[in-house]
Amino acid sequence: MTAVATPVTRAATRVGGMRTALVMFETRRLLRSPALWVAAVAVFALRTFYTWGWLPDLTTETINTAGTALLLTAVVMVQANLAATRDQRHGLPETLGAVPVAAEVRTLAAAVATAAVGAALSGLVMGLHLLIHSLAGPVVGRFDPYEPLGAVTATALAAVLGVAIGRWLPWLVAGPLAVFAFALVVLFTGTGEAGGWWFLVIAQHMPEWGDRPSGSHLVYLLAMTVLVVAVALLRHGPRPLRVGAAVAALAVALPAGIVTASRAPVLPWTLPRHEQAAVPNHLGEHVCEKRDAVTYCAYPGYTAWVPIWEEIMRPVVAAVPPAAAGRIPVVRQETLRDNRTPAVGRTVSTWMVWPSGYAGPHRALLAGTAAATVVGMRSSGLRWGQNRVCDARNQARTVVALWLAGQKEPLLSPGSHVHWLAQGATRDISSQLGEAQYGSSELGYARRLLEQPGARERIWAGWDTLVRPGTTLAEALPLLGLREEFPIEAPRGTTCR
Amino acid sequence: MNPTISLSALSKRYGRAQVLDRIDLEIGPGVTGLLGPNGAGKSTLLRCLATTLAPDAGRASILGRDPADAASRTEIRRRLGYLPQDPGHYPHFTAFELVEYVAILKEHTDRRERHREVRRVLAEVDLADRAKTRVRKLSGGMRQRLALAQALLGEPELIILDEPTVGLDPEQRMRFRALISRLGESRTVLLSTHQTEDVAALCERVVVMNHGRTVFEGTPRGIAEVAAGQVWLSDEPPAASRLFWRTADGRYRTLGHEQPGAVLADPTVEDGYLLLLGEPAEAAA
Repeated sequence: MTAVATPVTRAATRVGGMRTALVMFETRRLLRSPALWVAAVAVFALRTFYTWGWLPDLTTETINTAGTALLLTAVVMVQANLAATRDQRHGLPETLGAVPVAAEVRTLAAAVATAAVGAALSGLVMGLHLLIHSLAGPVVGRFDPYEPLGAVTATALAAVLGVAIGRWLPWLVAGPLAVFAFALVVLFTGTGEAGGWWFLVIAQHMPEWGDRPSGSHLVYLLAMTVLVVAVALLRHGPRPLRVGAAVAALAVALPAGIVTASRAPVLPWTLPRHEQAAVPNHLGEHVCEKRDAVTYCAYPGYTAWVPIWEEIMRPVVAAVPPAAAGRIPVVRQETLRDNRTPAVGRTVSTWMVWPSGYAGPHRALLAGTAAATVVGMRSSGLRWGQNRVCDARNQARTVVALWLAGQKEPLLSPGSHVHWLAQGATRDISSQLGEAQYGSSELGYARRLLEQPGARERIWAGWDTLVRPGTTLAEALPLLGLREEFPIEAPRGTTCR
Repeated sequence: MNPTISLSALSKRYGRAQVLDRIDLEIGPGVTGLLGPNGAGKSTLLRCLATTLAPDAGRASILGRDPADAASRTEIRRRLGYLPQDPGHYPHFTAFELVEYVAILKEHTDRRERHREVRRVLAEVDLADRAKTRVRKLSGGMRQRLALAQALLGEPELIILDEPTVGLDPEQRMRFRALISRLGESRTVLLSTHQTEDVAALCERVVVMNHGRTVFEGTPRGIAEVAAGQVWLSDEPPAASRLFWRTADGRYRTLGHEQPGAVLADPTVEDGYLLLLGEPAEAAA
């Protein structure tokens, strides 16, 4: 039996093939667009620049990368808009009016091609960055696959939005104006407050903000993409399929958006000050484990960094006399918000970020604040917003603390300002011992001790005297086996007790 | 044989202006020239025939189909090649891309076949070596040929060309004539032009339009014959006539009544055309 194609079948085949050809043509043109590739490279470069030198935290990095990818999203939107308005430009409408392919097919092809290319490029850039960044060291945080998928969908949504704007407002300026308007929205709602959860993606995230309702947000974005395609096609007439698709997409987008907005984490600073303390820490309870004499408390998902902290603490702990082992502090990971509250017990804080390459200042600070705690300095912790700076000059325990801190880590010169980087917050730290200031003489004697054989035995033997706050350098030098070598400076301001 | 185009009382109005006024016309295979002054309604008529503009009244049959019906209109477009008066170009496309884009929109779905077809039409208009050149870098004449190339895609049965020789140099015009006459051997070619020489050289039939109406239908010879006995050559400028001009050999060519001292000359298509248009043409001359 011979199969005979009916005219309807032939027509359907022809339309299907032509749609594919048109989509492929638009795709090839987009892939040759320098603007698109420049944006893709820029997103990759910017994200690499921001994260260069830091260990990967997937809780924030997926969202922050998605936020940076909005640059690519904006360019995709403009390109999609240009593709959609092409029919109206350069005097082509007359020529295109006499071709058998209807304008709605061109609209659909532009929407499909720009959405596919935009989404693929966005996925490629984000995937490549996250993969390379993940190789930088121990990965912490939680990878939420809906977040990058949401960003990819957002790019597709921006593409079809560009096409819809091009069809309904076929002016060359409409696309760039729309991008500008959305940029303003992102600028003001990029961290999720004031309705930002409805928007494409969130530009920035912190670990303690809690998990975003990324699943329902993805559904919202997908439904919005379908809705916008339907709206673009409605420009060519209200056909039942288009109206039906628009209504169905709206029926999904609206509840998904409401769910997303209602489950969005509350950001403390969007609340009145007296209510901020009541906002729970979404990271959960610390996971604590004891290694040698030290307890390390990390937030769930961040325990992969404990070996790094342990490596810093091990030489300090080894230099503490057994009798003083009880003074060894707990190493506790803190968010910026944790750090604004008074320290709990004998703890030293470590942070939600950690360098991947040279970590000298971070290591020196952890070792130094731990050593200061061991020798009993009360203002040893680095507490944000609590002005407890004191002066530990001419105190024997300052030399001991620096000696402990310098067992393996470098000693920082007094007054050398270290940028304390935690979750993007930068603060100058002028002392390795936290808020206890010291001078060049304390540092000089500590260095002499580190060079001197038998220093450990002498320090252990005179420990109780040496760590007493009232013991001066002059009194300590004989106990330490050191001769007077550096001019002793008097304390300035409040003396550390 | 059925005519390719058959129009009955076709009318079109822009506001108060009656641009097409009850046009009755039949056009069959071969090359037909459409002559007329600016504003005569030529481009409007061609746009109606190319299905980009719907007439207000009257009936049309194009390639045996009624363009008022959506499905028939699509079928007409599949078999139609159209070069509008102002074809437009995408400056950032290459010549190949522009023609390929139109080829896709003309349902050339198979990529290999489509590329072959694009190369063929580019060769037809002598742009094969410019295929990869961006349109913005092409000269005006090249762009006009590029626009003509897209109209030739798929070897359409009906080719409508609105002033296709604008911007072409003499050599290109000669090549264009050769191409059109070759196409006219097997298809229906309708071209609008101001160039009466093109009509004389190319067209088997001529339609002259004025004020939205057809004022002449016939052969180029027929239009020239309209001026038979009304074309005069004299050594002195005629005193009574307003429609005369000095020719290259220094003599005066006069259209109209017999002039004293003048001798009768052989009429041309242009002579007939100018006489058909009457006063407006005299004023224009």
